[in-house]
Amino acid sequence: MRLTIENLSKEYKEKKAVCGFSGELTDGVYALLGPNGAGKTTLMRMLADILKPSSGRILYNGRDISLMGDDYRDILGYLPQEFGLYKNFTTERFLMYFASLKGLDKNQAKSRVNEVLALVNLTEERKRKTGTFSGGMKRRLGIAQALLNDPKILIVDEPTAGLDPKERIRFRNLLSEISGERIVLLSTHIVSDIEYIAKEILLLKEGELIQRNDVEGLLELMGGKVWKVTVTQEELGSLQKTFKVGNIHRKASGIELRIVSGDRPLPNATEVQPSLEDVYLYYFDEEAVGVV
Amino acid sequence: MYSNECYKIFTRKSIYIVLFFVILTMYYGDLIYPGDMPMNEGVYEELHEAWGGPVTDEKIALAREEMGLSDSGEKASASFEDMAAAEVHFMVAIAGMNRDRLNERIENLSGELAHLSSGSYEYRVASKEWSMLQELNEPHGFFLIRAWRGMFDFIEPVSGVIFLSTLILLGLTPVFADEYTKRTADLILATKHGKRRIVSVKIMAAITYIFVLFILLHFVNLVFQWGKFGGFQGWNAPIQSLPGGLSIDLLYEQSPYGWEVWQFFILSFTIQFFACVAFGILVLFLSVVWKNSMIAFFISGALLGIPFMIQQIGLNRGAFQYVSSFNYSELMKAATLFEQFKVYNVLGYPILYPPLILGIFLVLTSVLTYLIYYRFRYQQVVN
Amino acid sequence: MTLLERFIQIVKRSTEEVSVVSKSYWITSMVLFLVGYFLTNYGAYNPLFTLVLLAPIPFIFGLLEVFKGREQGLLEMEMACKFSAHEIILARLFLVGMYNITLNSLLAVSFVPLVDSTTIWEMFLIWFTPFTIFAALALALSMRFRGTVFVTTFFSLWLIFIGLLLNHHAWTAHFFNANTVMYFLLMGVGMLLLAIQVRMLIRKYSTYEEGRTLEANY
Repeated sequence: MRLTIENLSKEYKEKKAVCGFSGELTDGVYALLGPNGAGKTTLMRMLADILKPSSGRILYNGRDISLMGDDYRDILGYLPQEFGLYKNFTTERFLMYFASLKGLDKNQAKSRVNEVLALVNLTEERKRKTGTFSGGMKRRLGIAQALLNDPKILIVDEPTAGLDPKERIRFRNLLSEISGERIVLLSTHIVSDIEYIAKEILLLKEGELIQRNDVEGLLELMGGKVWKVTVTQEELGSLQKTFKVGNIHRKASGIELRIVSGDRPLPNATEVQPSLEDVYLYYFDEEAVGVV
Repeated sequence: MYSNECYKIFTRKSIYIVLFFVILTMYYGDLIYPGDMPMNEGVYEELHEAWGGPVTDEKIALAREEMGLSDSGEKASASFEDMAAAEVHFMVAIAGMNRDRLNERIENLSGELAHLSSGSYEYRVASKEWSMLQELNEPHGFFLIRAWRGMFDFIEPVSGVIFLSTLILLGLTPVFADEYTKRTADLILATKHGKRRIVSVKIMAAITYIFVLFILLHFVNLVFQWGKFGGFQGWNAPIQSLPGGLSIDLLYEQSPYGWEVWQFFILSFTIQFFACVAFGILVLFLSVVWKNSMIAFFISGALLGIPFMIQQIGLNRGAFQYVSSFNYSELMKAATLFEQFKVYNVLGYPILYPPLILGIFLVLTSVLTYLIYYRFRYQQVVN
Repeated sequence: MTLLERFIQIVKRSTEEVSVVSKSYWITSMVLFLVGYFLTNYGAYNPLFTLVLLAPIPFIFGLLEVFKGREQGLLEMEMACKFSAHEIILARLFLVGMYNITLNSLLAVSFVPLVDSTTIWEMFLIWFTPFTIFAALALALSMRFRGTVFVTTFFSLWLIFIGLLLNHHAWTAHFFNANTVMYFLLMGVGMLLLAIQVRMLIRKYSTYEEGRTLEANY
């Protein structure tokens, strides 16, 4: 299984959302990492064939997906970032309806619905109306919907938003479990979601792919760039202006800072093990990293 | 705050789509199949010189003579002038009949008054009508007032009510309801002015919308009528000489109110505006209660339409009689309130229909306004 | 796939969509027509007028059901399914249209004893002609406006048309007694407009970019 992306671009009237994205995806979990507005959602919509690229093309095993039509959607599972539910439907009915949209026949659909309900831990809520769901349950149902047709390509946009920590761990493991023979692409701006499951991480900034590597590779690149130093309140202000400061931890002995910088920021700074958060900070130049 | 609320109402595209069709309908509805002759040709001016003003026995006799001649075929009525003259003769004759009917009615009432005991309700009713009719000053005759007929065409028939109420419904049902569907209600309620002043401001914005709409549509009608008649002569004619318009049954020939046309127009115009505001308040109230613009739309639409339907299927007897007299669409048809002598028994005293309906809706509207404040203030946030 | 095959597929799909359309829709439409029947039978209404008045109403409410996915935020998810959003919409449109036409036909048949001068065939022309034009208008509006706004806007336009028929007797007379050729001509225009709207709808709901656009200021 192979998804080839060739020089993919999408322009809107005001701005370029994605420009010149190329790459190849094979079986496994891929994570799209980037700040809000980096073009993650636009890219995913194009990969789900619901948005036409301005230029470039996407090939599935060598076939252009825009020409595949139904055949492509048959092997696709997609969960958008924002979505609604038919509120007066029960969980089961909702999934049965989507199974029919995905072209599953009745018997096949029934067993598949049971399977996905178990996967997302909603079996007990099968008779409940979806209108009464909490944010987390709603998202789990969305994931269940995407898995109904046992998709070869699963695209999930910020699937962990609104999930509590326990649900998030569950979901992470779920993705890992099912990723054996399929391409899973998820987007997030929470790095801990992907640290342990992603085969590769794709860093997207202002519509461009700026880095693509596995977790180890990324951390290796950060070697010698992360520092720890204890400073006073007065020094903090000027340091924040000149360096990318990760954590600010107030301790009795002073303020302990984690700084991402190519050079040693202060003589008394010590080098520390980089984490994915440092990677994020390094590439996206943001003061606050998704706090987990 | 006020300008923001106005902005919310006036930037809805749907209003302009409907407004466009309303104006189109106003224009073509009358243009393609005119309801009446314009009577703005020069020949009518001449005829008015000869026949105009209140009827006299002399004019009636002359008119009957002319009509007799043309009926017997001694006078060929082929040219436009002859047809116009024949029409005027006919109108003079009709005016004469109406004058006779009025005098007959006054005599009958005098007779009744002589029999009835002076303290009874019936006596009060008869004496009220008698004194009103007494004060009429030769109201029947031939007057050139077709242009004013056109001006009233936007007030009294159902179409004016439909146009105005539709646009009010469309513009005002979302005023409160949208705050719920867009989930901004919770945010607003939690602000400093989010419970009282916001309501006042929304009501003010709603009235502004009604005002603009009302003036605009009346102005458009005025322009169309000007184009059709080329002027507004007859402004000081008595209202009893206003001819029936689009629907023939609307006539003021038996109206007991002794006004000139321009006075009557200003009065109807004002009442119709009040009616629009009253209806607007009802719409706002339903918009607060139901929190959904579509439901508010249909319920207010039904409140407007059901009395009309009751009338149409002939159910207006018993209690329904009151429903078909005291409702928003009757109030909006303002001018028709004065069509005939109509009183209601209030604590033994006859009260004229127009002030009664106005009073009732004034009270109702005040209560609804209070309820809007109350509902908005004491609601619980759900969802 | 040929056009016919596609059509057959849509029709098949529409049977699956029956369950999505809410029960209250089926019931309300039917009740409305029953009320129309009784009012006309016991009141002084012109049966032709009732027929014209009621003709497009189930279709309008039906459009709310047709665009339910869009209204409740499922459009994006539905687009990525094998039966894509525009096919779902077409299937429901077919369903609602058929229901509407059935109701109207039944009502027309029930009115046969009440009208003597008009044949059932003419009655069909009288209600179907405005129906096609207003259905096209309704579709055009529903693609641009959010559900509740669309319904209220359409009903406003509908009320104006009804007001015109109510008020201007000359219009009504002309409308009910027009030449058959005139009806066919207008019906042709209505059908053409409808076809154009359906084509636009397919295009619009095939891609996310077009499908999500709704008027911000309605």
